[in-house]
Amino acid sequence: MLVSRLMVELHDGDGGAHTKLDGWSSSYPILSGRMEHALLHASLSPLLPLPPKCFCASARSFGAHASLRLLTRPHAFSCLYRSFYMILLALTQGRDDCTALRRLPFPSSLSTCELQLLGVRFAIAHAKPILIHDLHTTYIYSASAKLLHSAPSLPSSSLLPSLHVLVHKCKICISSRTADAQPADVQPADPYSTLTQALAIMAQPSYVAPSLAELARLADEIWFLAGDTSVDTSWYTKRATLATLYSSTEVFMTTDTSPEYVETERFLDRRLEETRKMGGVLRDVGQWVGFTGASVVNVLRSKGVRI
Amino acid sequence: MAYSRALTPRFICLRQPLQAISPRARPRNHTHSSQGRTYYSYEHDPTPPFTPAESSILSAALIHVSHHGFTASALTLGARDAGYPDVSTNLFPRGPFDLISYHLVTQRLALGTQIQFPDAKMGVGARVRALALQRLRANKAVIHRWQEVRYNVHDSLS
Repeated sequence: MLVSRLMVELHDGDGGAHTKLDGWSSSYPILSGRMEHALLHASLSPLLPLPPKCFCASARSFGAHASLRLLTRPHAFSCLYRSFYMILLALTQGRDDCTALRRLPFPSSLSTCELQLLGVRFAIAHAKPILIHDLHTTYIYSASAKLLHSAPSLPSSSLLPSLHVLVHKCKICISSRTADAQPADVQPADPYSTLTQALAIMAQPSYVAPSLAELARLADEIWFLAGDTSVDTSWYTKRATLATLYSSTEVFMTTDTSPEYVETERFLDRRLEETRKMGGVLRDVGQWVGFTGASVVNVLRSKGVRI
Repeated sequence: MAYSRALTPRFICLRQPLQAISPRARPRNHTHSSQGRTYYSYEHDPTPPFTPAESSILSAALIHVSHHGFTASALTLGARDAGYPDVSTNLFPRGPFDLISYHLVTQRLALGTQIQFPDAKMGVGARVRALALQRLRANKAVIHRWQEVRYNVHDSLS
C-alpha cells in the first residue's frame, strides 16, 4: 500500500514500526491515494529533520486521551485526517497502542475533496485549544494548509481564510524543543499585534472619519503643549505635517522589532529632519519663484509691455 | 487643559457652558467633537468625553486587550469586571472602535500631565519630538504581540 511504502522511505531500518504499520493500515482503509499521498508528503517531510523523540514526547503530551477525544467525533473528521494522525501516533508511540485505536468507530467514507477538507477544517477548529502549544501540531496545521493549497478542486473560499487564521495562530508554539534560542528581549519576527489590529479597525470606511478627527485632535494637542502660538496659515500646515508624521511613525511602529522601539525613535527623528529641510527648501523655492517672477515682469515692462 | 478644539484658533469664551444642562439633554454626536461644544474655554472645565459608566467599562476592557485584542470579547470581559451585565456593551454601538477611541482619547488627554517643560530653553521642535515620543510610548503599553517570548518561524508554509 502507498502508506506502507512511504513509511519504508521514512523509517529506514525500523522494521518493528514498519510491520506494525503494515498490519494496522490494512485494517484502516484509507481513501483516494492521491489525496492521502499529498497529505502525507506535505505533512511528514517537514518532520524528518527533527529527532523522533520530539514526536514521542509531543504525542504523549498530546495524549492518547486527547487524540481519542478527537477521534470519537466520526462525523466531523475526514478519514484522511484521522489516518494521517493515526499513522503519526503509531510512528511516535512505538508501542502496540493500535488496539485501542482499532476499537474506535470509523466514519463512512467521504468521497469528495470538499468533504475531506471540511473535515480537516473542523478537526482543526475543534482541536485548536488543545493543540495550540504543541510544536508537533503546527506541522499538522501547516500540512493541512499545504494540502489546501495543492488540492486540485479548491473548496469554498470561506474555508481557506479560517484555516490561514488558525495556522497563523498555531505559530504560537513553545520552542523549547528546538535547538536555537533567542534572547528574551528581542521582539518576535512577526509583529502582528494589537496595534496592527487597531489600525485595521480604524481603517474601516465607517470609522475613517472619526479616526482622522482623533488624529487631528492629537496633532493639535501636541502643538499646543509644545507652545505653539501661531495665528496664521502655518497653524494649519504645522498640524497637517505633524498628523502625517505621527501616523507614519505609528505604522512603522507596528513593524518595529527592536528592543525598546529605538528604531521608531530614529524613524521619527529622520522624518522631523526631513520636515525641517523641506520647510527650508519650500521657503527657498518660493523666494526664487517670487524673485524670478518679479524680474520677468520688470523686464517686460521695460520693453514696453503694459503689465 | 485643552480638551477639544475645532480647526480654528482658540479664543476665550464666557458663555454658560453646557455642563449646566443635564447629560441627557446635551447633544451628543460622535461625528462632532467628543464634548458638547466646539469652542474652548479656560474658565470652564470641559465635559469628560465618556460617561462614568462608559469609562469604567472601557478602562476595564483595556486590560483584556493584551489577550483578546480590540474585540467585542474584550469589551464583554471589561463590562463583567466593572460589575455591569454583559449586555452593557450595547452602550458602544461601534463596538471595538469605541475601545480604540477610548484609548486614543485618554492617551491624548494624559499627554499634558505626563510631560511638562519647566525650562524655556527647549526649542519648539524638541518639545514636539518629546511629546510625539511620549504618545508613542503610551502606544507601547497597549501593544501586545500575539506570539510568546520565543518564536519559531515555520518555513513549511512559505
